[in-house]
Amino acid sequence: MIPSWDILKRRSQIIHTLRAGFEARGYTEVQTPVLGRHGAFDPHLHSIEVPIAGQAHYLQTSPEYALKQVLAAHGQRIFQIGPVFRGGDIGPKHQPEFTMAEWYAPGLELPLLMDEMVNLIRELPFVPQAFSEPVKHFQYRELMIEHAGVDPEGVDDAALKRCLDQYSIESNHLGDLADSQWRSDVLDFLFSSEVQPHLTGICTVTGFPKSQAALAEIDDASGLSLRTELFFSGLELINGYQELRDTDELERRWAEANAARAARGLPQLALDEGLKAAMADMPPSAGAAMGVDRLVLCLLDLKRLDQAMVLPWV
Amino acid sequence: MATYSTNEFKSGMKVLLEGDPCSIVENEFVKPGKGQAFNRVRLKNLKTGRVWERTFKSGETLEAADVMEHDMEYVYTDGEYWHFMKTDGSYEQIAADKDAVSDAMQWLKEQGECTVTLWNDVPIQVVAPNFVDLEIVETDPGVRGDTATGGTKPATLTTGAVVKVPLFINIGETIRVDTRTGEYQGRSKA
Repeated sequence: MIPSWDILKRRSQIIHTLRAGFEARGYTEVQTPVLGRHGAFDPHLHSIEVPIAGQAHYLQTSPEYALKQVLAAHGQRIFQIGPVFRGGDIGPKHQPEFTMAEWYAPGLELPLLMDEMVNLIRELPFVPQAFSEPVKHFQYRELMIEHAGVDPEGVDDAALKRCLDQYSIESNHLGDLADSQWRSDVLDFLFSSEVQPHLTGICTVTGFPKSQAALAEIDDASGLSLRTELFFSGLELINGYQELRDTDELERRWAEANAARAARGLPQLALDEGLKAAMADMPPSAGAAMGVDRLVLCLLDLKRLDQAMVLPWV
Repeated sequence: MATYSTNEFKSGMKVLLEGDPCSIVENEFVKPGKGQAFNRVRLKNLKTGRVWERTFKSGETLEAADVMEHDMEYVYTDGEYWHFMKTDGSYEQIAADKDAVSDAMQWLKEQGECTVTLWNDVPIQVVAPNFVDLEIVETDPGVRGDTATGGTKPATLTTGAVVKVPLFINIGETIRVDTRTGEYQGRSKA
């Protein structure tokens, strides 16, 4: 399927203005390999494996590992807009190949990085009125208590299991594995089913549990991850971290992810030594990624990603 | 038998779940940012009529159910089974039990059309047409001229069904009923 010329023109204008917005804020665009030596170890991401000369390579699920190496080498504001791949993700708001914008700002705190992007989006063409309203800021824990009736900090695994058994939707995809990943998956299932539909307009959610830190730092005071997501009309648009720089912690999370992978019958992934070395060298930074096709969807008031993509998966 | 993967699920598809034939009402792929991808599926159990929502691991498969809907003519009941005849020219007859006929029972008129759902050639559900015309066999005498006050009274139809009708309707009249709601629609045109 090919979108109308009008949609393709507008999409081009949006991405052109987005690039100009990054450049105006001192970011330089870099290009990293689409096909990398390492896959993302997060057990929820399916890196598509491509063997080259008998060696495994992976279509990148985001340019994160490579951009962090550029960040460590130069300590400059950098961004990339390009294709990323996530095997098995096909739905109205998911495509196995999509366009991602990812950017890093050394020396910046995460809340300021998010503000900066909201201001940039407000400069884009076709931006709907709802984007100019003040951004609402929510705490993950408060949202979970209010809408899902679960205190993610207080509830123990047994209580969480009971809550799930009584829930109106039978959750057969979660299984019975009571490991740390199971707990995180249950909380995330409740968040997507019960909280996300309430996130109207433009808002951020912060204070995700430690188990959902990915490569974000943990806040010493609260023990929560320094991860913020921006939602527009309940759709996750941006995911930002105060970047983890502790290589011991990286190895611990990698080992835990591989254990969860093993328990779920997923392949083990080697640790990217280049990423590990970069983490030790990179300056304190905030970084974020945004789904560009989703952004186009929000600005053009479309319903499905395939409406804004050339030859999408349907 | 064929199997379907979650990414092939679409509404109207008939699948086997826990041994029962089900029809998929709605299917949505959900991939939370930090969690396991899943499909949230609403299904209707074709035997019980129960609709429920459950999740599947993305990529999970279900066996296809051999479920077919046939237009049939109701012939008679022997008290235990209700007998239907295919209207495709084969004159083939099938017998449905009380569970399959269920609520449709009160609307079945001899030689009347209906839809019979067969699972592995066994009837599991009978659906009467949305509108049926049936004769009244019992009701209080009609009140002449009272067409405006909006009052109703119970009336028993030839099939045994009881519906509320306006006060001016009499025994022997044929009325049209919406079988989905059991509501009186008006006097039959014919």
